[in-house]
Amino acid sequence: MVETRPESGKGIRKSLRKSNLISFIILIVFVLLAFTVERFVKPSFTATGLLAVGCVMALIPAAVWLIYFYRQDQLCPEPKSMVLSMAVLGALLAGSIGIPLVENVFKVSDWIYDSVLTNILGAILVVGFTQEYLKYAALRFTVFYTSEFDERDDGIIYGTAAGVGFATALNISYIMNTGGALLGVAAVRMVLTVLAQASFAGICGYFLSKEKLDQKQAWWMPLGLVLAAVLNGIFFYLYGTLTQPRITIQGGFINPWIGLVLAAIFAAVITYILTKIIERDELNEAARAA
Amino acid sequence: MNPVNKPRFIFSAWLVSGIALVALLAGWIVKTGEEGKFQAVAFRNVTARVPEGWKVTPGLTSSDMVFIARNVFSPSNAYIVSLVPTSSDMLNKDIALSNNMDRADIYDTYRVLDQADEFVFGKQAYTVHYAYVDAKDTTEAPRVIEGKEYIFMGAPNALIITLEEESSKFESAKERFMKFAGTVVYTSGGNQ
Repeated sequence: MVETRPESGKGIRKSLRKSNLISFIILIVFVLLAFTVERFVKPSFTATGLLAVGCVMALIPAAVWLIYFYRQDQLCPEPKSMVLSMAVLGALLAGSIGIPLVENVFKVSDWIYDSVLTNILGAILVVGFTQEYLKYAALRFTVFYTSEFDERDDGIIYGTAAGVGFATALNISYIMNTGGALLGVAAVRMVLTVLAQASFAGICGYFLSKEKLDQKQAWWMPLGLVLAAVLNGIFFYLYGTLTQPRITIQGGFINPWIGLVLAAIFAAVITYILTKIIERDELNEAARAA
Repeated sequence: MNPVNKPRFIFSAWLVSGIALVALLAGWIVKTGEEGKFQAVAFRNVTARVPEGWKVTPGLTSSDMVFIARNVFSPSNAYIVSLVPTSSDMLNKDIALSNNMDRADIYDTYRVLDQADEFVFGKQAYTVHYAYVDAKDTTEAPRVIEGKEYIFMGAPNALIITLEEESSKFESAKERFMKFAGTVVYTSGGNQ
């Protein structure tokens, strides 16, 4: 594999801007395409077709965000096989532990929406801690031990990879549960879910790499987990409650846009901060190398 | 020495795991506390304790339905309580048949999955497990709704308690429904 190394911070930023722009364009096209298909084709799926569509729809934003975060690490890119392994591990942990624990053991949908306080507490204590601990574990008990985990932004890269995998499993589960309805909204949700899950895992990963490389105190990593879990919980609250179905005589319908917009802003801000942290570390590394 | 083998990292990992465990235990306490919260409702000689925060709508006095309670955040999850006038020669199966025909009139896709006599809370009940496709709401995709109704014969009315929920969540909704069903009291026809 031939890897290019930009000579300066300016070169890094220019290269990143271009790749980031391409990522956003792909995601916009993905969402527009989903809305177009929903509007004009009105597809109905068999069970197998639904699974296939769900997997394809879940994998596109996952791949785009994975490449987005991976591209931020320009100076000393991590081995692609390890980054992909983290994504696969994240998906496996979500499918085998995360989703069953939240949905079948805690049965959050049965009680979490009973009041605002319950919603926030449940979102943080159950959803946030379950998801963030699993993503932390994916890093801490595998890649953390390797010599590849040797830069401050490595934790973010591996963390976001685990988060992308985790989100992919959540997205496949979502489209299976909704029967492939409202493809446009589903596409927006998928893009956001991957972005948010990757960002929160990136925070945990950042704390993990600082713990390893900067000899932090024992409270440092628990702080990172709590921060990621609280942010995850807030996102879940915005995402879940503000997209709540409205009661009608027949039952209810969903107005997802308010929650989706707020959740998008929230996730975008965290992603921006993470991107800036990586960029700063990359520039520091470049300065040291020069 | 590999730095990750240092006791500090191991202690940190245990600390993180412990905090996650404590958070989940706290979440379980919140869950248990929330599931135990109810609002008391009373309509037409029927009292019950509905989960707190649910929307309770009384039925018209001319209809069999006494009230319907819906989970505001998951509206497909509904508990329905009805009173059906009975006569001395009426069987619980007759009421089940009538209800099945009514639902089949509304939903083309209505299917009875199972019906049988069961003992519920120490009383004999006739249960009907059914399913249909709900496609009324044009802003949503059609949903498969599962239901189970418990018919308790009595005079002058039979008490019917019904659970409806989306098929994918039906099994997990049963436990909470049974807690609700245990609180339903009909003063003129026994209690369940």
